Amino acid sequence: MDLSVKIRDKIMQNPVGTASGTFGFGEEYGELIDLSQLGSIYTKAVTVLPREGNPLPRLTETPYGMINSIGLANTGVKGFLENKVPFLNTIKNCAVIVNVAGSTEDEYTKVIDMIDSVDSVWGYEINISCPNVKCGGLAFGTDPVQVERLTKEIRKRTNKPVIMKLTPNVTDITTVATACEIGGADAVSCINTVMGMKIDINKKKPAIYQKTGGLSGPAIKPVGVAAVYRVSKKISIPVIGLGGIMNWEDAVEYFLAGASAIQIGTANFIDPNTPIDVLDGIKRYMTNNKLEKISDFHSFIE
Amino acid sequence: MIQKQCKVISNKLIAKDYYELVFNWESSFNPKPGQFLTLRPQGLPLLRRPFAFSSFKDNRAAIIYKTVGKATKGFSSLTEKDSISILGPLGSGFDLPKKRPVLIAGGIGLGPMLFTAIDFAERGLSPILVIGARDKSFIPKLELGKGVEVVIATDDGSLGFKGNVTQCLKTEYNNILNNCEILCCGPHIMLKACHELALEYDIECQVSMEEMMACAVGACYGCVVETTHQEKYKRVCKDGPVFNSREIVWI
Ligand SMILES: Cc1cc2nc3c(=O)[nH]c(=O)nc-3n(C[C@H](O)[C@H](O)[C@H](O)COP(=O)(O)OP(=O)(O)OC[C@H]3O[C@@H](n4cnc5c(N)ncnc54)[C@H](O)[C@@H]3O)c2cc1C
Ligand SMILES: Cc1cc2nc3c(=O)[nH]c(=O)nc-3n(C[C@H](O)[C@H](O)[C@H](O)COP(=O)(O)O)c2cc1C
Ligand code: FES
Repeated sequence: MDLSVKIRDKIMQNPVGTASGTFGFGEEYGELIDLSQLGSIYTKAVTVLPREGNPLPRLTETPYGMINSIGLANTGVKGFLENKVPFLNTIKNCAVIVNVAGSTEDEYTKVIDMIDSVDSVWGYEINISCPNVKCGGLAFGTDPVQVERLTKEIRKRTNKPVIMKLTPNVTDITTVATACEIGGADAVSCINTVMGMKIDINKKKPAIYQKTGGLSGPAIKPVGVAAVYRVSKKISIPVIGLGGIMNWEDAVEYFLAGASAIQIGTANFIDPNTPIDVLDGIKRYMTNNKLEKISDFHSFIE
Repeated sequence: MIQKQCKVISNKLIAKDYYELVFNWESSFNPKPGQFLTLRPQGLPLLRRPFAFSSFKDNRAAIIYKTVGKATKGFSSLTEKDSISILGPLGSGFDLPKKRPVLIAGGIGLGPMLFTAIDFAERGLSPILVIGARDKSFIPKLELGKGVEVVIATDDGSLGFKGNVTQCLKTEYNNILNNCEILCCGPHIMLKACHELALEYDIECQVSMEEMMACAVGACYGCVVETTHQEKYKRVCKDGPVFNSREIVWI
């Protein structure tokens, strides 16, 4: 059985990764699970300057999901290099993919310029889709022209894999995916969180400070599966599926929809062992269904 | 910290709406007073729920929880036949005080302060434990052993002092207030009142904060509180839950 996933010219040992913002930089969960068994870790977003993040409350629970508005809180690229890279250097076998965010083209490319020489950085996931930053993120992710230009700028600066992370909060996700492919991206991941809102009817106020935020968890799985299906039919670079994956059955659904790899997000909060359990389940399913490699999943659904 | 499936030893109603859940905790991770754990609800709701350790001895640990919503109502039906997923111990505990400790517990803050009181008594620190509640029905029968001085304050005067915990301390323990350290856990307004009391008497005050949590291990930055530090927001789950009250921006 071959579980490996090729992106650009690099190989991930298996298709199971942990989603940006739900796994920090791996240190915390490294105390609970063996990180070297994971295919990949997608870090919390890194921005040029430190960001304190949004005022509180930042979280609320909803039926089968949660809404967050963390606001890309992070220590900035200098803090990343000083405080996070030493730990990332110790992670074996698993691909460390840095999630990069910004509100102008310049902010994205500066981050890449500053970390591209770090060996333990395997590749980049470009967050053009965070719903929690007012001025930039989302505007980028919704406009195919800007997305193509940004992808090209990033492509010029690095030979490492570039994965563009798409937002479902658009009219047609496939046009943005196409823009990424034309711009020279090596893969796309979909989906980021779905814009959501919860209102406390007793206080007559929104449940989180930012009023609207990003919905994640099982509630968004069908949205993610549909996005992966439509995008993978449209473009020829690999699609990394995420959104509401709680167990191996959910992961298999994403592979059948066209995903070449998957990420576990909110499920880490509920059971930190989920990525390992999902990997085991995928192996059992492949054995029982006589599937040799991940691309074998893609022949079932037209 | 560790995540494991733990056997329930007992789960009893100990006061109005308050349960004590005792479970098997065989692990090399020994919880300290002020640290907490998360319990995974069975089925829905989705997110794990944080609770402070209320005791730990001989491979047995416990929490005291109040039934407020879906998850806690679900936990109240656990029996000795069940096992539950526990992640812990989490966060930092209380620091050992430099002066005589005055422990203040309000509402759901009871569990961690009981644990702290017993631990401090064993260390010979002669803690005073002040428990505040709306009325006597919310106060369980306590078996604290020697070395803890217990003071009770109820809003309606149905047990102990009539009034809140800070009024109680100012009226009946004014002499001690000048030379003690406060450690407290309870509703936000009580914590704020304790902080103000500490400023007034120029004494130290450790507060155990509460915020909505998702990961509870420090990874998501969802549970932050505003502090006076340069990096404005600190995580309750990882940097806390216990803070020096002077670090917190009180609102
Ligand atoms: C560090 C910490 C220690 C705690 N220790 C105790 C304890 O010892 N005993 C006790 O009775 N309670 C404790 N709590 C509060 C307890 O976690 C909530 O009462 C519980 O999560 C409610 O769940 P529910 O589904 O029953 O109620 P819900 O209907 O979901 O919520 C009731 C209230 O509980 C709070 N809450 C809900 N979910 C969470 C969450 N994931 N994280 C934090 N708060 C939440 C919210 O403020 C909400 O308004 C603690 C909370 C924290 C953060
Ligand atoms: C608390 C939280 C923080 C997140 N932060 C980021 C982030 O910094 N960058 C990013 O690209 N996505 C971020 N996401 C989105 C997730 O990576 C993922 O796309 C989304 O949660 C859907 O997957 P899930 O349902 O499995 O959680 C965050 C999600 C959550 C819940
Ligand atoms: S709950 Fe995730 S950082 Fe505290």
